[in-house]
Amino acid sequence: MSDILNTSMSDAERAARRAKFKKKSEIVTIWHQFRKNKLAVFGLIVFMIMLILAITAPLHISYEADVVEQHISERLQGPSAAHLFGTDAYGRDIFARVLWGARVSMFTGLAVIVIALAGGIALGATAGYLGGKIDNLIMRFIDIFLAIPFTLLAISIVATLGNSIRNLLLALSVALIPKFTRIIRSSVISLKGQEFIEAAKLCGANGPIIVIKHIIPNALGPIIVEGTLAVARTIMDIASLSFIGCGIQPPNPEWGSMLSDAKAYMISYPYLVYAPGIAIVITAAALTLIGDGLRDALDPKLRN
Amino acid sequence: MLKMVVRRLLMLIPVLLGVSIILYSIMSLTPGDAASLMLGNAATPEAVAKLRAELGLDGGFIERYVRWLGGVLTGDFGISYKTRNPVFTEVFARFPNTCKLAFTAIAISSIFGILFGVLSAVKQYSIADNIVVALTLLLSSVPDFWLGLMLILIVSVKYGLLPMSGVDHWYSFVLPGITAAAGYLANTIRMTRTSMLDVIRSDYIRTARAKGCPERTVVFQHALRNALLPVVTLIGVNMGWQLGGTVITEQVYAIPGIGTLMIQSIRQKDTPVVLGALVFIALLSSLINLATDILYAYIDPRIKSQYAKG
Repeated sequence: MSDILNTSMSDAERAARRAKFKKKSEIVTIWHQFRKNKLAVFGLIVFMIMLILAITAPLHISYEADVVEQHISERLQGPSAAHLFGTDAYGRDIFARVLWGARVSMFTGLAVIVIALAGGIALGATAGYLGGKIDNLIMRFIDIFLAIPFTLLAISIVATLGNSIRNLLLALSVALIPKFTRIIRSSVISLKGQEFIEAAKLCGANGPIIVIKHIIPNALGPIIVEGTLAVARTIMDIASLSFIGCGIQPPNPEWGSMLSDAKAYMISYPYLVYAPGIAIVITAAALTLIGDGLRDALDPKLRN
Repeated sequence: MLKMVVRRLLMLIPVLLGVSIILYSIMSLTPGDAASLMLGNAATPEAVAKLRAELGLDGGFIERYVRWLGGVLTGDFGISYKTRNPVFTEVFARFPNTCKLAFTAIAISSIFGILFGVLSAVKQYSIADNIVVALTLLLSSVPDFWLGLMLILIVSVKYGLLPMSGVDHWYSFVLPGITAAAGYLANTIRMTRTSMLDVIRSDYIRTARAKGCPERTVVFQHALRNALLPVVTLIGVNMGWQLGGTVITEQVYAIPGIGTLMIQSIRQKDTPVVLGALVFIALLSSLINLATDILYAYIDPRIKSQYAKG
């Protein structure tokens, strides 16, 4: 502290110091907090490995030859050197399918959350910032959706529109928007009354600018935490819906639909249900650890 | 207090009306027509038209919705396209199974959730606490259908301890109950643990300890009673969700409950059954949420006095 007040410091030194302080932005602070949580870092590493495996899958596994094409002569072989996790009822390599399944699950899971967050932010910020009649209108509408259990809402949407990845995305996003709207609305309301918003108003900023530039960036913390945890849940939901036949259809290598296929053979060939299930558990657990770590890192009460 | 209950009950009406409109619209978007689906490809157009009139499928969207709603208000949910039985009968024939499953799951998740939560809070950072925290992570990351498959493989197939499907005995519900409870158990443990940790650090617990209360009394009489408040809300919310959320578990264990009925009806485009079951579940979970709020007010005198004032 005394250094900063020291008048003998040259201008250049002072500028350097200022730059140093300015550089240490919020993200760096959060990262420093996050890094202290060993479990969260472990989750991040595991998730990164899964992500890299998923992204690079096409480089060493051919979708047509290894993932979709059936080799009946090699059906239902147990784990071996040639087939690390064995082969399924159609002779397809389970390892290759689990790896490609990671692409499907992660892409769909992330896409659902991005869509649902966009919808939730739009609705929640509008309701929370404007208040009054519009708030009432939006929230009553949200209440209606919240009265329908999540799984059932998603199932009825997919069943009505037909089974496809696009419709599954749509159904899960619609089913998640009400939850996000509520979370975002409440953080917008708590931010709305603070001084810096008053200051922005006095500077002449209008409603949309205040919401987009001042309120949403400040509400981003809880949104990211909820989003990360929701990706974990969504990956499990996608698998569940595909498992009961209301989602991604065979021969697409999705973990849930693989397990749905495996169910018929599992009593004689239990290894069929291990790999896809463990893949879901690892991905969901890693994302949960990251989400919890972020929550703690963002909580000012827990800092230092 | 009574005023609050009445107001909340009145608020249910627009919500349920909205639920029915939304679900009715979703179901009417379905491509394909129930009458031609039922009669098959060989049906003559006249026969299809006749059946449509019989099932009340003729007329515009609004006309059909109003007719359906009028029926519902008089307790008539229509008849199933498939079995021609009243929807009410169909839903109620399956309801006991779903209820048993949901209550088994709620009992398991609440009892073990509170137990493990208290244990891990009281012994924070001990080995037991770490095990409970790891268990919580695992439980919240296991999809319920996969847990179901694994339980069947281990408990039913390998050791033959419990049946892998059916609803004939009380013990038939043990595995499905555990399966449906997993996610909720994780939530309940987390909530109890956090809430207990908050309470244990408060001044009145220090006072209780200072005046020489035995640790058991401090934990169960002083801390737990206060820490349970958020847990009770969570259990109520869980219960509402459970009734609608047993779909997947019912599928894994082939339990003839509302979830199985609904999936079957969705596949057969049996709209009246799907609508009836969904509206029924939405009503039920809204009522349970209301009951939770009332219960909450009774447990927490601070909230009770709030309502008494207003």
